[in-house]
Amino acid sequence: MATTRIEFRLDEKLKAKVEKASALLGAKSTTEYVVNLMNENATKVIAQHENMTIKDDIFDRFINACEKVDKPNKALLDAVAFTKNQDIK
Amino acid sequence: MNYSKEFVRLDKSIHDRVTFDCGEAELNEFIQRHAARHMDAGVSTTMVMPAIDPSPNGKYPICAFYTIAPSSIERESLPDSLRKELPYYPVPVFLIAQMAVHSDCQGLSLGKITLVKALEYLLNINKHMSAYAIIVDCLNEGVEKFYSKYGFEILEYKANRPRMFIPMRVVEQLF
Repeated sequence: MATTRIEFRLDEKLKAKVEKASALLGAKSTTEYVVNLMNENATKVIAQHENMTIKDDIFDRFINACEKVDKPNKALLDAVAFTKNQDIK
Repeated sequence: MNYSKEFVRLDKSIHDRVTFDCGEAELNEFIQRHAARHMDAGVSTTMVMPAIDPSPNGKYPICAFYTIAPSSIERESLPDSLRKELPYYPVPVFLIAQMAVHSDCQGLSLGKITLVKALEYLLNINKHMSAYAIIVDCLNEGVEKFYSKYGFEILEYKANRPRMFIPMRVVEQLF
């Protein structure tokens, strides 16, 4: 159930264009058209942001690297010791 | 500028974002304009190390910050044989989405301190929601050198920028 509002200003020409597109698609209202559009686009943008797709061979190498248990290198171990000595919270 | 030895959640009513300058326009813009909004929208969390002394406006300058976010990595296509023991679903990872040190604080080892605190923070999250690795996108070659020094490996190049990772199993041995 739609219970909250977003209000925004837009160019008059764009408003006419949006109303035309909405009518062409047979949307019940401009609101229905715009809300669907927002939902589709927001879903896409969020998915793109939250997920990365990588080539098969790179993915397989990545997983293998994550599953073998390498030791941290000396520079990183030293950095951790340094940070502890500085008593950084 | 003296730093406070503590990372806290970014709070725009307390921290002076406008004066942050690390010499890299993209990172300055992020902390000045996007970090707080991203946090409100649940996109990412930004932790800042404030200065000890406030600016004339009463807010505390930011000496260094890091921004983390959850993400996932997916294989382009399914493996030929599903009997392969490799996962073919998106695997969870963490991102160090942003990290920077104020120009006035550079040369004080705050870069490595910030990295260590980011790794430690993510390791704590990993106890509740475990991930395969920590991913970082490098802005330039200097950044790439910084991360490779600490054992990050190249995953791929994304728009000419190296994307690097360190396995969570390596980070687990640090703290």
